Amino acid sequence: MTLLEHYALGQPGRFFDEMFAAAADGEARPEARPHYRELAEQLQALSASAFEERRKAADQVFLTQGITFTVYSERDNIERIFPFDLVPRVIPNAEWRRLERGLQQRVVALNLFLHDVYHGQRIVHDGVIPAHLVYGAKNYRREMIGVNVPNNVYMHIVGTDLVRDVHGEYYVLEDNGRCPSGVSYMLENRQAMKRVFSRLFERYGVMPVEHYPIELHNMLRSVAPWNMSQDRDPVVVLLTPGVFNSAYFEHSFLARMMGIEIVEGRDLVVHEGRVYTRTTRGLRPVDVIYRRVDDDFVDPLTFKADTMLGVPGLFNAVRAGTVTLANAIGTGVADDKATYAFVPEMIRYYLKEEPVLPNVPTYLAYRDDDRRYILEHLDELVVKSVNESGGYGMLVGPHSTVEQRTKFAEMIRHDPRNFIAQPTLSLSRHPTFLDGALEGCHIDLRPYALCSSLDKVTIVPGGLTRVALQRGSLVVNSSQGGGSKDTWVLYD
Amino acid sequence: MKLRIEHRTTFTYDALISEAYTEMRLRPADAGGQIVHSFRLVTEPHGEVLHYIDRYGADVRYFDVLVPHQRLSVTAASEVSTPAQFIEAAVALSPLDEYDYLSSTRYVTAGNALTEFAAVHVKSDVVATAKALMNAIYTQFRYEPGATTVNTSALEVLDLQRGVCQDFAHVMIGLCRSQGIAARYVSGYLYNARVAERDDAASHAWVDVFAPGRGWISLDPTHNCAQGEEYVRLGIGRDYADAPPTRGTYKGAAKEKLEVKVNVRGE
Repeated sequence: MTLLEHYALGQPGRFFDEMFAAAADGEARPEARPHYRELAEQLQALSASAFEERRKAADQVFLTQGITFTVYSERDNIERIFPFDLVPRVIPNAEWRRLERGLQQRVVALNLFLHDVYHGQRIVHDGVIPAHLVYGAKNYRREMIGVNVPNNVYMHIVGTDLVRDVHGEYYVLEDNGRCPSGVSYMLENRQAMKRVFSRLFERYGVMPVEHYPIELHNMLRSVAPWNMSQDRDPVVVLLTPGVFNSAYFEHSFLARMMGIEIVEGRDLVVHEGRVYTRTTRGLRPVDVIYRRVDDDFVDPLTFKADTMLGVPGLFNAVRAGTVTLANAIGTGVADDKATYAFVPEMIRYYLKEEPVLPNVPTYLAYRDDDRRYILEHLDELVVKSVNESGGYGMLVGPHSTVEQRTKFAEMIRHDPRNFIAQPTLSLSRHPTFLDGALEGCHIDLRPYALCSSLDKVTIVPGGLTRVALQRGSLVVNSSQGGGSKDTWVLYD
Repeated sequence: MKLRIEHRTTFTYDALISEAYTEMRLRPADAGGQIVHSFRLVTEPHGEVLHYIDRYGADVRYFDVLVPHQRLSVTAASEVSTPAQFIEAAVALSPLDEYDYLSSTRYVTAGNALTEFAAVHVKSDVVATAKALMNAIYTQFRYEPGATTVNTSALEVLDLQRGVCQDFAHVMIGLCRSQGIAARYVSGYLYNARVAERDDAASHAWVDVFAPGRGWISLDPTHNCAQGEEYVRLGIGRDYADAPPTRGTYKGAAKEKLEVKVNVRGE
């Protein structure tokens, strides 16, 4: 038996299958889309056991590199290997170019929005976005008002989640502009695929992603403070919360790939408004901090006082312009799930352009009509808490229990500003190896955009394709049992 | 009125500490007719003093003392001329100020108790309502140091009906906001010729209330009067949390003792 022999497209019209188009007459075998043809043939020729062998080889690559992440739960924290699926996701060049254009447009608009809400607040004064939505956002940082950042870039690194509907149309599901993670999996997945499917990979003409760390490093150097000394190169460090953080592997991986120092709060010290690393030869100035520590914890003098993770006085150095944080403090007001609903308006307002990529229709619970609709359709909608990420604080209506819905209804009534709802999306499906055969599993896509200035947004072709490995599940987050695939963007 | 202020803060520790970072909001404001002639802040041990202007317009001074120490003293000296009456004319608030000065904040969370207490004092215009609320606090609440702490909220004070100037300011802000009147916290000093230097007795807090079409008026519920020439303004904020005179961190397992002495003198 071959891997694809029993591959089922599912009920027609319910999902978009990335690899196969439904056959016209409904009887013949589904036909692979042109950009998947070669891959489908290869899979057709592979037996389950041959596939399994390659999978083991790939797992070995991950295991020896120690690629793990931590799942936070109420009881304990578990270290896991991020599950990897060997069947790559393939994106034709023209399709990618459109995504790239849409993401660049979005990242620029988000940065213009951030500069605006921390300066003149034109967008609020002009009534494009309600005042309470901006000023009432948990991550609107009044400390950032009037603070200038190099090149007016706030979100230097953005991981935007894209999904496809039943017709294959791409939608933006959310922007992650605080400390987006996952890019190390994109790089590791590629390494594993090149090793395990080397010949197929070469024949396919896949655009590279390996230069991501170089692009990241270049971007970080380009946002060094304006007034720093010109006789030396900018010093960039990566600030991590430490080894107990779920993404520590990624922090050390990226620091190693960029050849920069990885530091914890206690390794840095601020003196007279400048940041230094402590070294055996004394204090060494730092110009740019790629920080993977949340706003709340970066500086106990300015933000949460009872934290050991941060660097006292760091924010005053930012304010004085002697150091750059990437991403800047206060970006959370722009990737807030309620603000998300206004991103298409931001694009029109700041850029005078139509959005290339549409948003998923979103109901905002603070609006009376929307709230009524949400409460009446809890069993159909996905409800999300505005400030949570990683699939926490979320209700998937069709898969929920009465108790869960009652609990959410109460939370929504109590704090409407904190909730949004969206129709349950039928995320596209992709052949994925499950229990010895290929099955259609739901996927999304998170490309990583790097913004050095408002006219330079770089996106390495591809990103992290996340896949829901629980049969039928729509939740692709790694913390909720998701896995990932390599993403192949093709040359023309 | 011309006033000289000396504000001395002494931090002592029961063991050596290091890497002390301190922010101070002790420079009088150039606002509402008040003029600052001079301001100086020095620290012992020495720390290079830098500054920034915060979102509420305060000129915040900060410094670090990295070397191990057990005592840190900071002296802030200023000379100001205060106006007979506080004036800050404005027709309308910016959307941000409107949001900030009408919302629930850390010390001043909205609650039915505030709304109900305020409701019976509502008059036909904002200024009359604010004055009635000030008078209600002044007549019904007892000034009692020690009844509350620096963390007591407006709702708790309303329940206790006792407290100090910070507490009365928070209650008044909460009462105003419950009636849709924008209100902000003011920190500063109150000069009293009859009281000699006694700890930080001169440190004071009161309230600004926004009258649409007219501007901010400044009222003191602790003394049931408008801000007069004996008042020196330091900073403003949504509540105390935005305008603390001191904020700091240090490294070391030691207990901190904070001592403040304020001396305000007339010409």
